[in-house]
Amino acid sequence: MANSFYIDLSLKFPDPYGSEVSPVYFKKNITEALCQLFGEVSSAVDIDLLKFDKEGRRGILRVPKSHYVKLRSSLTLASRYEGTVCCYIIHKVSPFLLGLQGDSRNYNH
Amino acid sequence: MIKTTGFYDLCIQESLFTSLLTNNDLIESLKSLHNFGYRTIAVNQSIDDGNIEVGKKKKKREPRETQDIVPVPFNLKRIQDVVAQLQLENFVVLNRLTVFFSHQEALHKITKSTNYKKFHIIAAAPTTMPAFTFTCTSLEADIFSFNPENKFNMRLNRKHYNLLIDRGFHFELLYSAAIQDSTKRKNLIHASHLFHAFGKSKNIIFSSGAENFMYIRSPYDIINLGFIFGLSELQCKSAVFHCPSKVVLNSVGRRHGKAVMFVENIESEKEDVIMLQESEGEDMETDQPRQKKTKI
Repeated sequence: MANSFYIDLSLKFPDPYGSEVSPVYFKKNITEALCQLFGEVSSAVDIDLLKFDKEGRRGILRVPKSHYVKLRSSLTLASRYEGTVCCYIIHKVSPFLLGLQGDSRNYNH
Repeated sequence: MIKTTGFYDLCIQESLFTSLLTNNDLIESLKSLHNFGYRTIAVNQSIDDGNIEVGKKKKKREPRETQDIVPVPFNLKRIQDVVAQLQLENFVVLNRLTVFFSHQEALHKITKSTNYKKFHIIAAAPTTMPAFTFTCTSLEADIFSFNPENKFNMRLNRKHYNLLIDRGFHFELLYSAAIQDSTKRKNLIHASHLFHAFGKSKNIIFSSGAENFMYIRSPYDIINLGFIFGLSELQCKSAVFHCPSKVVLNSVGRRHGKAVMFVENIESEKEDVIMLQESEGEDMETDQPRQKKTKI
């Protein structure tokens, strides 16, 4: 079984043309959210930002299996990006990177 | 009979919809609610029993003025029109009333009000211990709620918890408060851990309680969030799916008295108007004639 989870997520602002987000700041914001809810030790875990699309503010994260629930719940409770209101939308989660390519959840017969 | 499917968000504040002035905003927000997976939502209005006492004094001065304490239910017409326009399937919008009260005297006035009966779902949020015991013993409502701004100060025990469960109550946790600031988050986690300690987190439901659209999260996020509120994997799922559906079913039961039976004539080609009758038994003479309804 895979040891890590891949999360496909995007950052949403109330204003669609909100501030520009760089990959470094995106990652920093995620680590901050984790730190705020679970403290220093939990935020020291290896989280990797594999891909990031600046225009759509959408990226793919890799997180160890043991910290997936913690990371996801801190993303749910995160509401600030550099002082402005924001929210993270998680599109897909999979233990395999290929699994992000497609799933049956939105399948229409 | 209301037919609902999951996922449920049984508390979206009225102010969220009143703040959406243009139709485009409303369309956008309903679309994204639908995309998140929500199929049943309830628009919440709250009344506080502190304001009612002011109303009482006024009435003494002007006895002629008969003003209803309970607000008129939020008009769902605008939302339903947009739902029909977008052709969202199985999307149901309900009215819900949250009553914050500290004395049972004021509550009596509220429950006798005519507007009170128009709400689909009733949530009780007692603020004092006597009010809490009254809720446990004799109040007819569907949801037990509390304000996450204040610390959960009820002395909960297993007996009260089980009493509420037996009477069909569900315990509500408003997650948008946890997103807003850390004090509310602490209060919420405290309360949810009390529910876990005294009642094994039975009959818990999650709803947003959001006043801003940015505070609504997808149901799968909420299922995951349930872990930090002390729920098991199965309870997390049922907190956004099975338990709220039971709330809606129970609320139909509560509004119609002891026994609910709907008799509908489905063959529409013979009669244009489908009559809906209810057999209520002993409750018939005590309740109002509005229980006979015509429904299509």
